[in-house]
Amino acid sequence: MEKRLKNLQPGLKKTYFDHLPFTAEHRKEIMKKIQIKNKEEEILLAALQLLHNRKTGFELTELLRARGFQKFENQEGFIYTFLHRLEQKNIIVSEWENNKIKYYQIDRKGKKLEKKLETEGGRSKNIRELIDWVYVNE
Amino acid sequence: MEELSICWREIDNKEEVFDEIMITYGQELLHLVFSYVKNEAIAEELTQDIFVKVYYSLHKYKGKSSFRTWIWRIAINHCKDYLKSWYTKNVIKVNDEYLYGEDSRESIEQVIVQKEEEQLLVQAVMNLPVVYREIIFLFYFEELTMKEISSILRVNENTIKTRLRRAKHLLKEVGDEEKWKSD
Repeated sequence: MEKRLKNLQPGLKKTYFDHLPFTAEHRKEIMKKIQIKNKEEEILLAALQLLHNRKTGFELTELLRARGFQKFENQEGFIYTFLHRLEQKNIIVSEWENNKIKYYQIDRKGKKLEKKLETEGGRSKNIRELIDWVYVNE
Repeated sequence: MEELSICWREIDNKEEVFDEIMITYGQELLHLVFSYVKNEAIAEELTQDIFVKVYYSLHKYKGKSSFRTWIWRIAINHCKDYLKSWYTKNVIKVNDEYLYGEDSRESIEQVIVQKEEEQLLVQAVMNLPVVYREIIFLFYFEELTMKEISSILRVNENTIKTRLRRAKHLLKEVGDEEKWKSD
């Protein structure tokens, strides 16, 4: 058997793998998927996960950037609109420290939302509507 | 790649760096995925999803295992989740068209008699249950060591050895049934 199994590599290459090149087209397709995914619900989920420990808006932006989400970088101030809206929906809470620094942290409702986003993404209508509202630019 | 854990957060040209990662690991991952799902289109789709997952997990790579081990582990878990899903169990039918050509409508027995041992072997390996197939693939196709396989699958080395022995035994049984020449 041992001797015969030496033929597995050439065998697979001649049969199945002969039809299976990984091409530049594949890479382009993957980058496209990443860009599409690099969007609202992903950022929302990442933000909720990060807000398990309290953070300032600036810290949150930096951490999101580290994860590959660049949405907030080009739109300064937008992170605060985003956080403010999440707060209005009781998804996160905020507190001031020494009247100077504002910290944000996830709330119970936010944790529920996080679970839902993790398991089913943004498919449910309620989540879809929430996301649309949170991200509306004005 | 090992330095990646340290710098991924700081990297500004993430897309370029990621393209390099895809060039380096794309082909082997596509093969690996195919060895699990046995379908070209599905293998391509899953490989794409795996890379998307890798992209968003790179910040979590801590360099504890080699980058390759880490990326393969993600791929294998993704494949196994896919195989476990309801959709796979109920909808997808795996076909053999690429082994024997599209126009082959002969019965498997007839085809097997006509084909060389090499193809017989490939077919026999691809028909193994996943637990055995993955070991055979990693050991004989990818030529990984027991230790590497153990690390990728997170299964201890003795178990790997046992499965490898069992896998070979199964292959031999198939071979005997198909009247292979004896070793």
